[in-house]
Amino acid sequence: MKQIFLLLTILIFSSLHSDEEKSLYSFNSEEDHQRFVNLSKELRCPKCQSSSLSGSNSPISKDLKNQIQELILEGKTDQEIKEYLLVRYGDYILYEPRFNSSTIVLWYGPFFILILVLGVLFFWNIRKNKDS
Amino acid sequence: MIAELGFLFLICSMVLSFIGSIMPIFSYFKKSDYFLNLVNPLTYLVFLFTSLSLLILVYSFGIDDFSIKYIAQNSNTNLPLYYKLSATWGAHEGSLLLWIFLLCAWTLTFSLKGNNETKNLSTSFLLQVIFLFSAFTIFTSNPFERYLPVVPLNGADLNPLLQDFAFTIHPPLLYLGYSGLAIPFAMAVSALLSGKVNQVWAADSRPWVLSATGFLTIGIAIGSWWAYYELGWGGWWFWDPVENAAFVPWLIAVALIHSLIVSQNRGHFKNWSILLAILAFSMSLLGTFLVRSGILTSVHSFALDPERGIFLLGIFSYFVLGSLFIFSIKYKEETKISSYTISSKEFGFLLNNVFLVVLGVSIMFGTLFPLIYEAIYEGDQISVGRPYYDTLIIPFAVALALLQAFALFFSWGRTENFSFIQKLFIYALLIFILISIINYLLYGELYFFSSLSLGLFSLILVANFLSLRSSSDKRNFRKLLISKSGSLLAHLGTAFLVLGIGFVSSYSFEREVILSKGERYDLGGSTFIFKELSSQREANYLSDKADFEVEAGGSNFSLNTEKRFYTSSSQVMSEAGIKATLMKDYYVTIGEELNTGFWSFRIQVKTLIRWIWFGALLITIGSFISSRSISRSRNE
Amino acid sequence: MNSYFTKLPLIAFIGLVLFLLIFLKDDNQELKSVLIDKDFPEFNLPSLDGKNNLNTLSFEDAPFIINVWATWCITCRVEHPFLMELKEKSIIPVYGINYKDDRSKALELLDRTGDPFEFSIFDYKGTLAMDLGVYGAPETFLVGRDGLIKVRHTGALTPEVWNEKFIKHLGN
Repeated sequence: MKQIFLLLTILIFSSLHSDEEKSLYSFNSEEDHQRFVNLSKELRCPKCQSSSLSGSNSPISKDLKNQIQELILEGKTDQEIKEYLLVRYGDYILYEPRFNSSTIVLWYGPFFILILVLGVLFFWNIRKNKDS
Repeated sequence: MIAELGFLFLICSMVLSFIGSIMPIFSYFKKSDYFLNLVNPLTYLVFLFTSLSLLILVYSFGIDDFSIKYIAQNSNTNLPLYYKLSATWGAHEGSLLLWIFLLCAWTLTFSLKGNNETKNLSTSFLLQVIFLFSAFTIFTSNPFERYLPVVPLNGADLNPLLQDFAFTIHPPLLYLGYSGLAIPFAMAVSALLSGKVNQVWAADSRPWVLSATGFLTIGIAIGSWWAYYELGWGGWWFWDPVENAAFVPWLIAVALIHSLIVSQNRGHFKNWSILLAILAFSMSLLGTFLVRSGILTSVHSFALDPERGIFLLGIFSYFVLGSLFIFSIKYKEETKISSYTISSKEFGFLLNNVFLVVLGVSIMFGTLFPLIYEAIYEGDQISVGRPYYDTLIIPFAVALALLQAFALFFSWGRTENFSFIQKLFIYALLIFILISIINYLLYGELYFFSSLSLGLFSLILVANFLSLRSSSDKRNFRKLLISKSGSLLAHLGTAFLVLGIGFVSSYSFEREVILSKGERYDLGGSTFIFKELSSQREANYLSDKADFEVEAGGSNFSLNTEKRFYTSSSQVMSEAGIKATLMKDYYVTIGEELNTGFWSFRIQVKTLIRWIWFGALLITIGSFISSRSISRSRNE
Repeated sequence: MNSYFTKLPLIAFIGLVLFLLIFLKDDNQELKSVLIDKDFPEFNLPSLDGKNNLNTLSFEDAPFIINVWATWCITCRVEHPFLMELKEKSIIPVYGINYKDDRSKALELLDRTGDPFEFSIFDYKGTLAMDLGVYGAPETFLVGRDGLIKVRHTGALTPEVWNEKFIKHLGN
């Protein structure tokens, strides 16, 4: 009886010390962990010259990563986590510029120019060949 | 003493290049070619003096002359010799001198080997560039400045990030690319001024653009490779402003190469090629300005003051606005030679240019956007980073890949035979399915990006080989292969580049973990075992080294990762442990000791990442082969 | 039509040059705070000496200064004399946030060099600092007469910075 109990305890212990346990940041699911990794790459270290949270060793990056971990564990969505950081650090901290009236040129500009140029070239060519 | 000599030589170089710059004026007014011909001996002298100046700087690094401020700031007695010498380009002043020297080397080569009607005029323009940059160096960025009378006993040390082999070759190769774009620029402006914007000019320019592009390609690739193993995060491209500053000229240069093909063969797009030649060098200069003016924050930028920035902006303005002004007044409308439809090679190349130039301008715009935003919204700051650029580039890359595949089969003027489409599609699909099956068997899962890149890879591969076969008869096949081998290789390079990028995006794994000795961690189908930790002392740093054993598939191997504390600068660096195999990279970076015996590590497995740089290498070799074969055939 | 197109690149680049010129003048490396004209964030933290629990009501009437400091922050020593001056000349109340620090070391430092703060908040985890968008030390905030944050300065608080950035808000 005692032996069975001992065996069970050992088994439970060794399964507790799983791979997720060894993670520096632990989460409840693989998806959550991946969300964390992605977020820390999409967010900018406010102190560094040009580095994501993932690519930075600075204390503030570590603090922010810990905070993100906490927020994920609390069940917050990616959007809510970004909002949380936006309110405190501003748009600078997002590597992906928010889509609004001030960034519309950035997001749509290239494709608009592309379509425009392509359109002009196609019509021009067709018209030129029609004339000749 | 010798440092003053180095400075003096640089001044000689500046004066002589100035004289060379104004020779055209004399020739014009005296109506004699004598003055213009003088640019050639002047070039030899400028090259000589600049080389000596650089050599003296390198030598002074070698002998630890810390009385020279620049050396004291960037070197140290404990530095191994090869790093002492390459520390010459470790910071702003020295790297600038290197840039000028490399431009002198280009100019010398051009003066000796260039064979076109406006060669001397072009050379004088190159001397102008050398003159202005030499003046900038002498007046604002003198590498030979002394710390007198108190000479430091030892230097501050080269930034540990730069104490690396890749650093010894990355700046020289990159600068060869940047400065090399000055040649087509000079040729374009002199063609404009002499009214000789013609097919000969186009044919003469192309080898130079190809060589510069070759250097730029390998320079950028080595930068990417170096960032990958040096910075420890496993990333190979960050869309950092300075990276963009090198990528944009590359895109424009590639557009120029293709545009010149049309200009040379069909006489179309000559004026557009002129503009592109000006734009390519402009982007190169803009890059130089952005990196060295301190206007953008970047991991790369030299820490500089705005006064130097103004001087650089002045140089930029002079060349860019000057050449564009000349363009606007010397512009001659092209005489109608032949026409082309939308299904022609000409139009295919035109589309190529549209995609490349719009992409390049968009990336530059994205890089400058934070500044624009800050100006409009009174100090509010915004970041434009990876998520934006990744979204931007994908449609362009897909469009370019598809275009390449199809345009290879187009004919000049008008394509009559569209039968290639069926063959192309079938073969590409076959290869795609075949490799996808292998992909699935190996990795168990298929993803969108990797499959997309695989599709494009198959398409480009098939298209390039099929087009070779279809566009020749048996007798001339050998000749065709030789003349097309350069572009074939370069295009294949793009295929591998795309494939590598797609697979790295989809099949990369990373985790930060805490391990104690003997513990293991599974990632991406392999097992990483933390075996041993040892501490040692080297010449200029102390280190804690962690040894790992990796069980990957059938094979086992070891790798180690180090944490280094550099004694003179008190900087701490992590050296990643990387094992590269044909398909995968295994990557471990040591973190910190969180508890006695418990260390944090970042473990990664990356798939096909080396194929990215392999692709870049193929592009480089292809560019050089093309350059060589064109200039050879021009001389025949 | 043609002359218009050929001048277009020139005009575009003139615009670029002018724009870059404007930007060269600006030497600002500091991240602008998003909290300007917003309320001071709510908090509930102990005081450094451990005697009280502090929150936003603990502050005296505005205007006042909040300074983020720590014993591990070398630059904080540079601004210390100026902070002492603010206290000694009763110019404005100064409150401290002791940021991610060792309590006894912090108390010992204040004891040894002088305490310019009405009180210091013991922000061991840095939660209040994070709510303020702090990313290093030292940082200084000015809460204006209307109770809103008016200024955020990163780096040492020197007389020059005081005159340039802070003084104009004291009269609000």
